[in-house]
Amino acid sequence: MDADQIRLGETGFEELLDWLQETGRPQTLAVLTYQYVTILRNKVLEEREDEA
Amino acid sequence: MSQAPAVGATRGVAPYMEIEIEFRGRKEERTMAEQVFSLMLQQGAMYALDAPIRQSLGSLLDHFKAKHPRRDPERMSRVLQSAMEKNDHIFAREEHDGEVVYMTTRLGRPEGREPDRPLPPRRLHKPPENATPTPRRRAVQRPPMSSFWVSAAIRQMQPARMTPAEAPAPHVAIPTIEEVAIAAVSRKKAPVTKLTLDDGTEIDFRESEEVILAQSGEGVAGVLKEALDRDFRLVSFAGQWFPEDRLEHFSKGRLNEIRRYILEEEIPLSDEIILGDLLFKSPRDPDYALWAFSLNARLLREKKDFEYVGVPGTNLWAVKGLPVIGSRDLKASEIGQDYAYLLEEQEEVEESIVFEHFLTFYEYRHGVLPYDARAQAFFPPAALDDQRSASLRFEIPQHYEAYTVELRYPSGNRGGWLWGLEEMFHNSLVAGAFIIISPTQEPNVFVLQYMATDAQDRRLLVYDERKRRYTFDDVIFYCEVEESLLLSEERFPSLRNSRSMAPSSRKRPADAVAEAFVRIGTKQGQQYRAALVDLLPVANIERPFSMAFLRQVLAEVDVFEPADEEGDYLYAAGEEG
Repeated sequence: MDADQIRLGETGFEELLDWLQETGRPQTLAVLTYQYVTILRNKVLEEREDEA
Repeated sequence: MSQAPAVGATRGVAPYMEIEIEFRGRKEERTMAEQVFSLMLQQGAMYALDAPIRQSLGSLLDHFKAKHPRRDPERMSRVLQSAMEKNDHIFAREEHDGEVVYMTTRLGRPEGREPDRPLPPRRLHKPPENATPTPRRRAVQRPPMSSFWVSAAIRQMQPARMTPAEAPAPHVAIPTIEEVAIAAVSRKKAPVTKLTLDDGTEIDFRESEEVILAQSGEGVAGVLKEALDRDFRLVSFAGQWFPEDRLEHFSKGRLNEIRRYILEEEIPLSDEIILGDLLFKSPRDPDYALWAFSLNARLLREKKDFEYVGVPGTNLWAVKGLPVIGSRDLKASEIGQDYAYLLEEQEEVEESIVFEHFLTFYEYRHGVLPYDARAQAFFPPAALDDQRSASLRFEIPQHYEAYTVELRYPSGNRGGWLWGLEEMFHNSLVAGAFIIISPTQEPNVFVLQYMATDAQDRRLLVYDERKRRYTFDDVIFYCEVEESLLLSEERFPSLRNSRSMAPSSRKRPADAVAEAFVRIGTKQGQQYRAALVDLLPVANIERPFSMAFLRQVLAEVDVFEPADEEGDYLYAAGEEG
């Protein structure tokens, strides 16, 4: 997706919760932020690769 | 159809049909009539052979004026009307609302058969009686085209910026809307990889996660934390989050068991001890982190029975009924008010690996330490936002003793302090003693030491609770002291038998300073004179003062003023309200 369509805290948030659940243990804000950036980055770059 | 041509007449063939038409009149008129017939034949190309084709005189004239702009329009009008009159076997002249109209048919005849007026379909097909009425169909509307496709289509139709030499020949055909939409779908714009945050920082997702977090991590974390706190499906504890429906369950009976166990041990217990002793969970267990989080999150909800008293790194839980930590003479609210001045002291201090402190009489007597700026930089901060206190353990290696100390965090208009050291101070130290507190591997455990000396026998100020007076007594102590804070008889003999201040007066810092002037000052008429270095330890008998706070009171309250001699102050007792 286009990065300018991202709404921080909403876009990719459900994927983050799925990931948190899969880890099986509580996570800190630092870890969650890293994972959230990874999810958003994948959303943007996957489309870019598709375009290529 | 075969007919001999009349004089001044020509024969023509109606296009697409083997029908001969005779045009009469002068050559100019015959040509004009033939052109008019040809025009009307094109107009009615799809009409029935005998259907009337009509055209007004005005429209015909407009046509010929546009076709022959150099000719005289009036003459052209006369020729046209003349041609129509002379060919009345082809054209019929009619008038509608004052306008001259000529009529003919594709067969070239001046009369035609008007078509029957069609009846509405519903009248032709009446529904049978008692038939179920056909539901009325709703008009089908085409869905509105998305603004995205419209803007994409507009972009597609915009000409490329090319030089005239490079530009292709203009494309005459206008694409249909379907062609434009299909073209827009098949040719997307290049994906956008940059996101601008509210604070103006920009995230470029082509960068690695590490680079993004270094540049914009704080902004993303702030927004994400709000979203995590907002989501009711999640539970948070001490900066961690997890879905609530995946937590381990603790029954009421289990919570009662935990409460009783803490009461039996008589000290706050950590989540690790509770999980290990009652639930047989070990930190090596793969699900230990989830169990610990579940326990802490559950106990945090049980605010009536459990109180969090941990520090970052160690989660401790207390219950009602544990041995009270505090002072015999003062309530927590009174000490909090006494230390309220610390809330206004904004001293910048560097973090230190040890906490060094000289005890004042107030601290010695009540077994407290101020949670001032230096203490805040040294002792652990609150782990939770609304945390009231933390339970610390002070080990005294010189005496093989340990004390449970409560750190009361500042709240509202009350300052913070540590207490629970009354017994230790009274047994081993004196007012003015120098103590050193150092951390251990455990975040809630500290080592308190003093600098041991040979025995010192001095007459020092003590408080006689029975007489409610201050007096001097022989005290043997073995610790290094700061002489300026030592309240010895030889230095302050006038303190003997001084009464303790009333609680209402003691709360007012200016009254406590005035009382210090009266106790140790030199009386000069209505004024008392005292040195700052003497005022500090004496003022600290009744309530806590830092040197900065004492200077502030002396400067701001108008009954005090600096004396001529530097370091001395005057108190005008007569002006006291």
